[in-house]
Amino acid sequence: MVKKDKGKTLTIILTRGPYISDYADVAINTAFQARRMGYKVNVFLYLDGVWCAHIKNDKEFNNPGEWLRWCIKKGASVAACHRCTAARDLEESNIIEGVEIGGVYRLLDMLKESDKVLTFMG
Amino acid sequence: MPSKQAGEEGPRSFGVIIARTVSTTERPLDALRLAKAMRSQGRKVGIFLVADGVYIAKKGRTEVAGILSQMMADGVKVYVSPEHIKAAGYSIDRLIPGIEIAEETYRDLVTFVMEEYEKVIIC
Repeated sequence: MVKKDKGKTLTIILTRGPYISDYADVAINTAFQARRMGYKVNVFLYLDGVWCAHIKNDKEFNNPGEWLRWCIKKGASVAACHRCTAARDLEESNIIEGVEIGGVYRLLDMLKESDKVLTFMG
Repeated sequence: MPSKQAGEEGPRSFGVIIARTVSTTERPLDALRLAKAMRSQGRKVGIFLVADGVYIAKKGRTEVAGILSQMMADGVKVYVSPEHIKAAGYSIDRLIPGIEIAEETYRDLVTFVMEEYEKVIIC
């Protein structure tokens, strides 16, 4: 359940891939919780962060792909960098449904409307 | 104690989320030094430890434990994620005194970011 609109927007930029550090887990769980609490949420997957959109199957362990699907289902906007996906042979057919492939202009749009930006990188 | 009032420029409050530990990178120490400088200018400062960042909340005669204790004495709030402490495999009685345990990690983290601190960085 999503609570009443808080009137604020959070954008999360994730540049690290899944299963290499906790960044993907913390970033996507934060996005999910923020959406549940009624904030508008944008997630931009950049560099190796785009791999999170490639996790489509169930796992017996932490599953950032599943959490990303929950975010989309709750109304978060999730976009993956066009060039970063192309470089990794990711395309609409092999990423999670609902993840938009967009350029950095999409990121700029997200940033312009944001009250807060969290960047998980490095 | 803070030596100056918060300047008119820059954020009035500053939050730091630490998700890494000092054994793998200098970043947590750099972030703490920045937070300490912010506090010395009279700004409200908070620190939230998640993931591997919870390791720096352990008691001990380490540089980072000393910095955190001093910062808390200067009025900095330090929060720690209970689920990540559990995952790290140590008990809360090994936390540096004064550190507050979050009630619900991600709910409290979102409130920290969206409502409590004007600017928030992650390291």
